[in-house]
Amino acid sequence: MVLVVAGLLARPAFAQKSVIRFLTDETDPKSIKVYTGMEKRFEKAHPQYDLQIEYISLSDVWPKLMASIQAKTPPEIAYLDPDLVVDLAKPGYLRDVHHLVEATGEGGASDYHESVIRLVQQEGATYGVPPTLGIMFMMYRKDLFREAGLTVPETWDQYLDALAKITAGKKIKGANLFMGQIHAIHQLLVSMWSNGGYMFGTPNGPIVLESPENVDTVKFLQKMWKFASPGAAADTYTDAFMRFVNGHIATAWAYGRTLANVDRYNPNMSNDVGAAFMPRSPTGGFRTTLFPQFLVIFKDAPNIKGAEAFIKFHMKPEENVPLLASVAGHIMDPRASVGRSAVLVGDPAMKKYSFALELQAELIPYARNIAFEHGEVCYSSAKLTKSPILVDLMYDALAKGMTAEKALAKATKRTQELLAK
Amino acid sequence: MGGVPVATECPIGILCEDLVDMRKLSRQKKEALYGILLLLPSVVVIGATAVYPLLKGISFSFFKLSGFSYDGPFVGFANYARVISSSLFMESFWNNAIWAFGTLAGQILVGLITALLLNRAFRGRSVVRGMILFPYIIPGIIAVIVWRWMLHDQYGVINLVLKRWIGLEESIHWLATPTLAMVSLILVGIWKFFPFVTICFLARLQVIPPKLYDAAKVDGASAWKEFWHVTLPQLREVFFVVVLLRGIFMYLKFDIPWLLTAGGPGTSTYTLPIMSYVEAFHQMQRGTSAAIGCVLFATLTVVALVYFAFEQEE
Repeated sequence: MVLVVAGLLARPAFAQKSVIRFLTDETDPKSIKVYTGMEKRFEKAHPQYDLQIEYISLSDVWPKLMASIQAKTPPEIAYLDPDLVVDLAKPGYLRDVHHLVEATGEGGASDYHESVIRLVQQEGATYGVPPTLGIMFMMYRKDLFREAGLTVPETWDQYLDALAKITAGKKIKGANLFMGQIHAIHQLLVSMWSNGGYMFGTPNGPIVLESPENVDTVKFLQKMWKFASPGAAADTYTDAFMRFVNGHIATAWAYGRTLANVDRYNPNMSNDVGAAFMPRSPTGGFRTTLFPQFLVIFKDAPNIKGAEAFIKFHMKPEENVPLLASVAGHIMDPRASVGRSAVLVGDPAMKKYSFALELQAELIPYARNIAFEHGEVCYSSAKLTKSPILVDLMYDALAKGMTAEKALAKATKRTQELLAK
Repeated sequence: MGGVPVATECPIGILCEDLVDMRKLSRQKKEALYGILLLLPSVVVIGATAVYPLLKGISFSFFKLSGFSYDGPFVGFANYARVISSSLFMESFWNNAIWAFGTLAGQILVGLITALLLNRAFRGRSVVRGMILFPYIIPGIIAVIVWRWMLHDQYGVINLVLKRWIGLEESIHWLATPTLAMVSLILVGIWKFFPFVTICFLARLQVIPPKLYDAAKVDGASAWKEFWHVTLPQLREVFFVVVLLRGIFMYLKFDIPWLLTAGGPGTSTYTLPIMSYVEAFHQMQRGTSAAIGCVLFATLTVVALVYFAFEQEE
C-alpha cells in the first residue's frame, strides 16, 4: 500500500516532458544568460515542456541545419536570416506561422514593420516571426573627426577625403573592410546598391556583376582598402569589430553589436563614438542592409504545439526586450507597439543606445535585404550570398590587387558555375 | 556426409559440405570456422564504416543530388566534368598538392632530426620523448584555435615577441596574405604531426645494430658518412611507410586548413577537401562533392601505385 501511494506521488517525476529544440545564433554570453532565464521561466509556465537551446555561430547555422534536415532530425525552432528562411520555405520544410505573427503583434500583424514581414511571405503564407531587426550603419570616432576639423561625410569622395586627413601621419587606420563572410558581403552590396548596381538584373534574372556601376563600386572599395589594415583580409566578424573597439580604426560600417562591445571592452571610448548613415555614392542614394532574423518552425518537427507556445512566450515584450538589451544597440524589435512599450523605454541599456536605435529606425526606408535586391525574393542572390564568391571577389580586388574588371569577371564566371548546378 | 571436401584451401570451401552439422566437422574445419567467426566482427565494422561509405560515395558522384534530398537523376560523369572545368578546381588541386608536399617534407625533416637527437643518450631523455608527443595528442581543433590566436595580427603572441625582441614595427599578417597564409598552414601541419614521424624513426633507430657503426668508425667514416651510409639505408623501409601514410593523411586533411584559414584569404589556401565540404554543406551539391572526393581518391591511388612501383624497382 505504501509503495502504491509512493508510486502515485512520484508519477509526475517520471512523466516524460516533451522536448522543444531551439537553434539560435545569439551566442554573446549576455544573450545566452538571457536565454537561460527565458528557458527557466518558460518551463515554469509550461511544465510539460523541456526546452533545449542550442547555440551556434552565425556561419555554422546553414551547414548544421542542412545536416539535421538530411538526417530527418530538424529542431522544432530555429532563429534564421531571411535568405535562409527563403531557401527552407521553398521546398516546404517550414510551417506557415501567420497565426503567430497575428497573435504576437498588438492589434495583429500590422504591428510588425511591413518591410520585415514580407521577406518571409511566399504564396500567401508567412514562414517566420521576427523578434529582432538590425540595420547596418557607420560608427565613427567623433574625437578624431573633431581633431581633423571634419563633419560626418555623406558621399564616397567626402569619406575618402576624411579618412586621408584623419590617418595622415598617424598609426590609426581609417576603415574596416571584410568582417568575415556575411558582413563583408553586406559591405559590398551596400556600396553596389548605393551606386545603382545589382547582383542580378531582375529577380532571378541575368547576372550583372560586371556592370559599369559595379566596376566603379569596386574601385571605390579599392581606394577605401588603402585605409584598412592589411590583416583585415583574414578577419572574422569579431576580429573586425574589435579593431574599432580597440581604437585601431576611425570608422566602421557595422551593426550595433560593435557599439555594445565598445561599452564592454573599451568604455573610455564610449562617449567618442558616433553613429551615422553610411556614405553614399556621388550619383546614388543612401543604402543599407535590412537584417531581421526570424523564428521558424520546421514542419516535420515532432513538437509543433510546444514550438508555437515557446514563440508566443519569446515574443512577449518582457521576454524579448531583455534579449535586445543584452547586446544593446545591436537589434531592435520590429513591432511598433514594443517601441512605445514601458518595458523597452524603461530599460537602461536600451536608453543608453537609443541614438543608435533611432538611427536604425531612420534607415529602414533605405534598407534592403540581400535576398531581395529588387524588392522581391531572389533565390539566385540567396544562393550566391551563401557562397564565398563575393568575399573572394573583395579579396581579389582589394588585397590581391586584381583590377576591378578582372575580379568581377572572375566572380561572374563562378556565379554562372554556381547557378548551373 | 563427410566425403572429399570441394575445396581444400579456402576455409569457406572446406566448410561448404559440412556446415550444417558441426559435429561432423573435422578439426581443421572447426578451426577455419572459428577463424571466420573471429574475423567477422571486424569485417562487418570495416564494411559498414569504410567499404559501404566508400561505395556509396562513389555512387553519389554519378547522381545530381542537390537541395536537401538524397534522390536525384543519374547524370553519368557530368559531376566530374563540372568539377574539373570549375574555375576553382586547378587552384584547389595545386593548393592541396603544395599543402600535402610541404607538410610531408617538413614532417619528415623535423621528425628525422628529432628522432636522431632523441636516440642519443642525455639526461631527461625519457621525459623529452614523452613531451615530444604533445602536439600529436592534443585534439586538432584545440591546436588550431591556439595557433590562430598565436598568429593573430592584433593579439598574437608571435607578433608581440617579434616586436619586443627584434623591434618589429608593424605586425606580420600571418593569415592575411596568400603566401604567408600557406606557409603558416604548413608550419602548423608540420608541428602537429611530426611526432608521429619521430616515433616511427626512433623505433627503427633503436634497433640498428651498433656493430654497423663500429665498422664504419673502423673504416674512418665521418659522422655525415655514418648517417648517409649506415643510418639512412637502415631507415629506408620506415621512410617508405611513413611517406606513404603521412602523404595520404595530409593530402586528405580537412580540419586544419578549414579551421585555420577556411581556405582563405580569398582562395589562397582552398584545398580539394575544403572544396568538397563547401559543395556539400554550403552549396547543397552532394553529387559534386562526392565527385571531388572520388577525384581525391583517384589521384591518391595513382600516386600510390607509382610510389609502390618505384619502391619495387629500387
